[in-house]
Amino acid sequence: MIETLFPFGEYESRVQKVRKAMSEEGLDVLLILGSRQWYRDHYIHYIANYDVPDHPSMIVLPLDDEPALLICDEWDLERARERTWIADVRSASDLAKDMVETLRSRRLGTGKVGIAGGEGLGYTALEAFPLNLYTAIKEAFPTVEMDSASQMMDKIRAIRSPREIEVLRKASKISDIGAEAFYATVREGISERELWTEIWYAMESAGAQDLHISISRGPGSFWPHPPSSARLSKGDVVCLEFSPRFHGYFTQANRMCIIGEMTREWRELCQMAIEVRDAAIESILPGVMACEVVERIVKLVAKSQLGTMDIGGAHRIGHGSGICLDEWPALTSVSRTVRQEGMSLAVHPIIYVPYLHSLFILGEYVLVTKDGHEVLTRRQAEIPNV
Amino acid sequence: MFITDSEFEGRIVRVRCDLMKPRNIDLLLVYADDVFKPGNVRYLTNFDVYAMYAMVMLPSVGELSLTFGLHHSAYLVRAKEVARADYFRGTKAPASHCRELIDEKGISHPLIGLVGTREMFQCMRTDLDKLFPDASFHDITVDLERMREKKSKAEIACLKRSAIIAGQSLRALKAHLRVGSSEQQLIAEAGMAARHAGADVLTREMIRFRVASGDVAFRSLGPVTDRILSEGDTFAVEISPQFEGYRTVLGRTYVVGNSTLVESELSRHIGSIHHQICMSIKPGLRACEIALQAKGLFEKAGLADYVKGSIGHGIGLDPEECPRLDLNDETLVEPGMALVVRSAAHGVFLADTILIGKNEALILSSE
Repeated sequence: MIETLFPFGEYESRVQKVRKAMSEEGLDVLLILGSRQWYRDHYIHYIANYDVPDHPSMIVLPLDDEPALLICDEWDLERARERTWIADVRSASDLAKDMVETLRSRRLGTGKVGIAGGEGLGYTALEAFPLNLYTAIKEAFPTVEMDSASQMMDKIRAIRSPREIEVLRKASKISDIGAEAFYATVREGISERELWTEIWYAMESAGAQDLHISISRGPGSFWPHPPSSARLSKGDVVCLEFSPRFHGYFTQANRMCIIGEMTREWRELCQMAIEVRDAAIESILPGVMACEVVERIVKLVAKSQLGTMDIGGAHRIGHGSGICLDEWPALTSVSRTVRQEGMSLAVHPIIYVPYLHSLFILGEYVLVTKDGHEVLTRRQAEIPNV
Repeated sequence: MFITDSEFEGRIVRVRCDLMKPRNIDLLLVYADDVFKPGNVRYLTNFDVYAMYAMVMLPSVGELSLTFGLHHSAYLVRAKEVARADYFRGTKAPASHCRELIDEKGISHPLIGLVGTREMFQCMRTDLDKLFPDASFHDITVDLERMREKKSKAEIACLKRSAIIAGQSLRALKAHLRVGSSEQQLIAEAGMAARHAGADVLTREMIRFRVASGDVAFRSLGPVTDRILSEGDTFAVEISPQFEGYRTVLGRTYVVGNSTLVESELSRHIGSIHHQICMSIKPGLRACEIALQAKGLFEKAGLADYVKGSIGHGIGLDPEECPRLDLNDETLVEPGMALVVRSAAHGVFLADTILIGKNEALILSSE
């Protein structure tokens, strides 16, 4: 019996949108690649409801024919067939060879091929397409043209359906549980690793099926990093980012605390961080361009004369987050993307306080609604000290 | 750190002497990303590739460079903290740095060795071809992976620690295994125990779990779900924690609540076959002979249908390494190798990690 997360109609609707976009882009077939590592199975999840266990998998989605799902983990074939609505699920002992055979069997050896999945870190899906797969297509179909379909897919999946929003609400509750565990556990003398372990346990127990947590601890180790055995000490500014994944969907929250006495100076800095976060969230409205929001926030931080958002690269106050941990649209000073109803964003302005060599990062997960926005995580009212 | 600086230095010397020099390789490029074989890069630099690509550039003489995808300056800070390299660069286009290295040495028509590049980003290979119209390329992936097959004392120590962590993790899981528990909760407990015991904790993949529960007779293990366990359910779990990059695998199957006589007998029977397979592994045998032996044991027990392809493989810095324990692999099993052996029949899943000693094999798991 097939058990998909959403009703079949939802996946049908997604495929219809993808095919419409393919037609507009002149694509005859879309190849969607995915693997488990670093959550790169997002499009496979989105289209096929399949969570890749290990080795890469691929969806072959023709414009005018039935799709096929090729999976390299042969032992997972049966489970894959139970999870996906795609009827043609095949084991692929040699993904390059099986991909070519599938394309041939669907008479897709000419025209234009779109590539999606595997993109990120500045690489388009076509740039990041594995060499063996790229070469196999070039050799089997010399006249075929390949193009990245990342942007096309980004725009489709960035607008959440009502059912997706319900999943994101539940995922946001898990972020809140992570935040509770953080505040219940953090204290002077605890190691980053011990703190991280408790938070991880709390979120995993609450249903997180995957997790990403990073820690920033100024002034000693202020860049976000994986947990170390270093112990929290007086004067530390501790920032944590929690990103649980629930049924294939990520949300994100950023929390922080001060180790030591809350002096007047700390109070002012914390108040600034809260005001900046609130201003960033209040600016998330449909029809507004990202760069306009970021510019306002940068000016607000500069006006405080307490910190700066100049930490290298474009100023950034957040990003999309949903089927991918960090996805389009970016909320940066160079992004001209307009917010649309249905987008879900991790809003977390990053403020650097130079004389403390520390970051102040507070963030919430925000849904863009018809008339404004809704904060899905429990907004943190103040920054505590321990 | 179990793997010392001098051990890393020794590895670089071996690669240069045993792999590069005999082939006249001027520059060796070792590629990895978080999907494809991160072990090769980690072996040479201790860099744990995640969320990006990484490439080691090792000239026949001179400094070792490490390039990687740079999402954020934080990655450069981290790379310098954990990796052993002489030069670090965050770049989207590593081929340019390769060209710099070759030009510095004034080599024309260089011979460039490649490891792990079969699955590299195609744009990187395109760049290499563009920037090196005068070069020859020679893939030596298999040679480096063969070099890594036999583990050093320090590597074996890491594997043993990983096995201890797996055992502690399994014990924590067993302590919570009861009617009404969910797969999710059990794995949370097991994961917690593994982290407290010292498992690597950068990403979730560093402590891998695969489970199946319910009527699992005809199913395979897969990702964790939120299924609640009932009386009589079978619960199968495979735990694979990483310690300083090195992994082992431990797999066991339980019945929730009271098992029937048939279930107990079946479990003992398959456990016995699995144990015989593990104990039959000796240095000097070929991988295909081990697979054939295992096939024979299953056939003798009337379980021929359950023998499919490979019964295991090497393990270490990568979750799957050479050799493959199947009928096609003629690799000689030698002391220092670490192998995973899996047996599955009638809903009983078992997996153990075996260390090949001088005269016999040692099962690393204590559970």
